[in-house]
Amino acid sequence: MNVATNRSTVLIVEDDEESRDTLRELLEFEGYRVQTAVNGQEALARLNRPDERICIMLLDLFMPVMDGWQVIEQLRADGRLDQTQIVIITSAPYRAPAGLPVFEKPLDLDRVMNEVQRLC
Amino acid sequence: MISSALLLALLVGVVYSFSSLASATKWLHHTDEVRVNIALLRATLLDAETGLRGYLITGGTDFLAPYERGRAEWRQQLGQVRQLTSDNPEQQARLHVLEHVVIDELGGFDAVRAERERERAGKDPAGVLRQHKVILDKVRAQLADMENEEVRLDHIRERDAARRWALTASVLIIGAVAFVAFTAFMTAQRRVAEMRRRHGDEERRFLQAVFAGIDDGITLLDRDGRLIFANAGAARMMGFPSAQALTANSGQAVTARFELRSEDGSPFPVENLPSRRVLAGAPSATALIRYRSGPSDRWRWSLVNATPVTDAAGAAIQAISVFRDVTADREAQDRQRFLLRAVDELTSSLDYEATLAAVARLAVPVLADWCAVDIVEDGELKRLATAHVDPDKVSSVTELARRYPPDPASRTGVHEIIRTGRPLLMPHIPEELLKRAAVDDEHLKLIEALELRSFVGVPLTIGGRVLGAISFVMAESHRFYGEDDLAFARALADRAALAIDNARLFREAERGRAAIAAQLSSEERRRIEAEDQARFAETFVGMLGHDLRNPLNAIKMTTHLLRKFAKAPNELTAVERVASSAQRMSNMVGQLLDLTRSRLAGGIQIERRPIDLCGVVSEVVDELRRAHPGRQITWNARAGIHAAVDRDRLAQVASNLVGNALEHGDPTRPVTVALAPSGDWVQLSVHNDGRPVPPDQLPFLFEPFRRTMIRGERSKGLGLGLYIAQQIITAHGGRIDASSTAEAGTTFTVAFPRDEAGAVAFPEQQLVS
Repeated sequence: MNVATNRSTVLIVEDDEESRDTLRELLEFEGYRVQTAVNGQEALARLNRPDERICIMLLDLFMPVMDGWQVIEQLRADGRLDQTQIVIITSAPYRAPAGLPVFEKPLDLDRVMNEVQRLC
Repeated sequence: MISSALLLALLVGVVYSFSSLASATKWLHHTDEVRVNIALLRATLLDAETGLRGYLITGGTDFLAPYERGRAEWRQQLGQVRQLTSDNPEQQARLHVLEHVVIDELGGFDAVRAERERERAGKDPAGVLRQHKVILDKVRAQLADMENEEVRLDHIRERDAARRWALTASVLIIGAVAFVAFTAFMTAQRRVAEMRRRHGDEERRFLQAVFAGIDDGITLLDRDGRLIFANAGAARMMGFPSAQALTANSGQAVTARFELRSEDGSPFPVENLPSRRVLAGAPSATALIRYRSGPSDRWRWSLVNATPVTDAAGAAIQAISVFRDVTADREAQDRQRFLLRAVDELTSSLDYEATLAAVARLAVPVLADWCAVDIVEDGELKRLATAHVDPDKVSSVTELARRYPPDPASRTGVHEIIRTGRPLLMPHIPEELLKRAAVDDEHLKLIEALELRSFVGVPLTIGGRVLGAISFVMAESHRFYGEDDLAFARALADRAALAIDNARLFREAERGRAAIAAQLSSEERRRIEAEDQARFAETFVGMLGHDLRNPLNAIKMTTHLLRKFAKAPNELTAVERVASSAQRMSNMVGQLLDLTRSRLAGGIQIERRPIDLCGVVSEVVDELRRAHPGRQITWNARAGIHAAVDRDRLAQVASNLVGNALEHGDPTRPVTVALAPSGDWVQLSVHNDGRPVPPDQLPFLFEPFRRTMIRGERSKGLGLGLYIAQQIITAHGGRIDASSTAEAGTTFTVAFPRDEAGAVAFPEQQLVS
């Protein structure tokens, strides 16, 4: 378990409200600061904010307005993909872009937490 | 007012003091006059005495002239004094004595009497003179008394006058001081009032600035229904150009502008408005109100909270209402609910036309006044469903599309959406555009009759393929689309596309089946029907599995969180029960998805990575030992059997086989797991004792949904585990077999190559795990 003094910021990008809120509560319980976005557009806006450094982005793939693939494409186009640690959370892991850590929904939370802890 | 009264009192005081002073001064002059007249009497008396004395001594009659003159003067002066002292009885008495002495004893300055006396005195006048002197001394004494009296009076009057002077001066000074003090007091008071007013203005401006910056609407209503205050937020919500424009109305007039509804859609009674309830005595009141200004206005939601402002006695005199615009939240909820209902409805039928009609019907009137679904069939765009809020107009829309089909080269319509695969949002349809689009007058008339105002068109895409487009149009309701409507339309289109594609696949399968059926034997027909059924099941579970995953994810995560908070053992037990049910459900959903993938997506995808297989099997065995503490699992771990496989998938196979053995095997006998290399291949076997699989069922063990037939027992799962295990092993290029007899027990054997090429040698140093 992480200690409550850990103040790294995790960005959850997830359109499903219940999943998003639960994951947020869990991460906050583990002592992380958490930002959330309901679609890719909001996620990019958060990443662009200079006041908070996002340590890791937990990214859903199927989302309205702007989906997870588009987020990755945009970051790649901006040359920022290497600077952003992305973990895919999806119900369709077989469709996830190659080269990124993927967790299948329903999430195995111990593994997700370990990954977050490893990267942050 | 006070100032005027004070000034008047001061004036009266001053006038009184001055008149009193004037009177005192007059008396002083009067005394002086009396004293002057007494002095004159004395002088007259002296003249007369001198004259008489001269006459008596010398006998010269010349001396009698002043004596005679003295008589007239005496009388006149005496009269003067009598008149002047008429108010003083003592002086009058003295005058009376004086008159008596002068007339009776002196003969009133009579010259004849003087001559007689001279004769009587003869040669020695001294005796007469002495006699005269005595009388005159008496007169002088009397005059002296009178004068003394006047001197006394003079002193008294002088003191009186001085006192009055002092009084007047005091009145003037005190009055002036009082006036100055009062004026200063009044000025100070005016300044304080002015400062207060300015301070009050500042406070009001400050509060107004604060309220203006708040998004929520704030109003202050008094008992008489007057709207005393409103901020910009309130004006915005109620459709007024400014707060001043809003407060120019009474509360009642503002309320009357709106149609109010409760959350359940029933009319909202005005007396239940929070401000009314608070003014009627409630300590606070809250209500969720839906409102609009007329049939053409969109419904808005407001969460209203009112608190009273009370007087000293605690009675409500004003009500402060805070209005929060929750329209966006409510609409988002409504849309979410709508989407869930839409998914239900869209998946309820696999009939192609019915699905298309359902898409159009669902959109009206929530998302559009009319909706049309266009589908690309054989390279042509066909309008396959139309719904209109006014059923009579469906035919107009259909007629329009039939007589004037949209121009395929048009850059603004459905064709453009299908060509680009991008949605199109036109919040306000320009009239110019309609005119330009019209082919002739008849066309324009038909278009105008539809009252097109706002448009959203979204493509129906699946896997990057554009199936068609849905057009949503606002007309009669005067609503207009925005970005959020576009997002919602896309969400609906995504779900519709999936349903339409499924329906189309089903229809194609149906058509194919119908075409072939005519040529096929009844046996083949049964087989095809069975295949169709299987396809239906796969389509169904594919959708179901996907939509189930998000809520399941939330349940699993919540149990994870709850575990951290649960204290009592019964709480933990309950959480564990939810967690294990969720896990079971999760496994089943996973299996359903695997089934779909293996059937529809060309098999289960695997990702090979070099691993130590023993490690994987050990983890699986350890996990199952923990889950089945009463059972024995024999597993002789041997490190160093390496292969390039999909670790998670292989663990899934091992877990399934060992789990089955534990579930169906003799609980008193161990389950044996073995892993052995065999050249370039690896073999995993799982054995259990107990009742065997009936021989007639053995060939169907790896078919999906076979659970009810296995060994006459009902499994807890879906009957997909072995099917999926086989699919995974097949994807690895391997095979899976089962043998089962009463004597030898049941053994599942899995064999697969160590890597894709069938053989590879790993450098040993990399394989130490």
